[in-house]
Amino acid sequence: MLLTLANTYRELLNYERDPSKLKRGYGGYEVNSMIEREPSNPGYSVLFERANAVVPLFDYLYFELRRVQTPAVKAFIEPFGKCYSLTIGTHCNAHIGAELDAIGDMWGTSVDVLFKAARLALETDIANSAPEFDSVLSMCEHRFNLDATAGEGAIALFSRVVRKHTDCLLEIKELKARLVLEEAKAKTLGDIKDKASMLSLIQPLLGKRQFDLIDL
Amino acid sequence: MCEHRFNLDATAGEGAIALFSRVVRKHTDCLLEIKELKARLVLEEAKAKTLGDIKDKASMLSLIQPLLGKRQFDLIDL
Repeated sequence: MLLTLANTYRELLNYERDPSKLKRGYGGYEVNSMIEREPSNPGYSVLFERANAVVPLFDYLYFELRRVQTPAVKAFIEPFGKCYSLTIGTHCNAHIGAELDAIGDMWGTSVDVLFKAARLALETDIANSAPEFDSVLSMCEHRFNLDATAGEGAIALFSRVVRKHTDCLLEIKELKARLVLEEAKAKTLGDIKDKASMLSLIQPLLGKRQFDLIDL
Repeated sequence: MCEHRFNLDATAGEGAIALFSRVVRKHTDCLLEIKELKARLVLEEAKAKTLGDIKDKASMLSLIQPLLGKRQFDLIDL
């Protein structure tokens, strides 16, 4: 779960730096993803204008963060979920509109506030995952004799893992080069073997010819 | 030509049968070497894959560790 959190956090930071990277149509395969969304408060109508980056962000946050089942993130996306649920027997647009109004009240109509709220929810859950973080860290530390120093931290560990990985890739490269050479050598030796076998078959005949010539 | 390749230490006039058996030995050694190299390659590739996974995890951890540090710092401040 910690890694899912961390992955989502990294992705969110990237999108926050450059919202234009957000793809449109997140969750397009989900039921109700194409639901009509119109806030009843005209002040929030900008929320769902196509040009507003909140539209893809809204879809992204709901469909991506839903995978993260941690308390703060769950609480954060709860109002989003209601926007994607049709309640039987009620006036759909009115229901959805009310939820959108609530979202507008909470986060306004610009992407910045929404991004910040999402990031804070993720940071809260990450900060509360310290024990899990320690167990993942020690799992990383104790593999491949990485000689980890207790509490040395993830950055130092990361650079050691990178070095080890690079060494391993170099070793693979050398092994492959040696393999190519050895295979070429085996092929040549195979050819010579065939020739030597042939020679050993005909050598007595040559000897006989030499012997016959001496006899003459 | 057979004698002077791969340091087969040919003795002049030793004959084709002796040369043939030395070539066979050399060829067998070479095939064994290839087998060992292939086994080592498989092991190293598996190791590289695992290290790659750990690298991803450690990279991720190094990203979020400051948050945990911040939390610990905040607690000390209280």
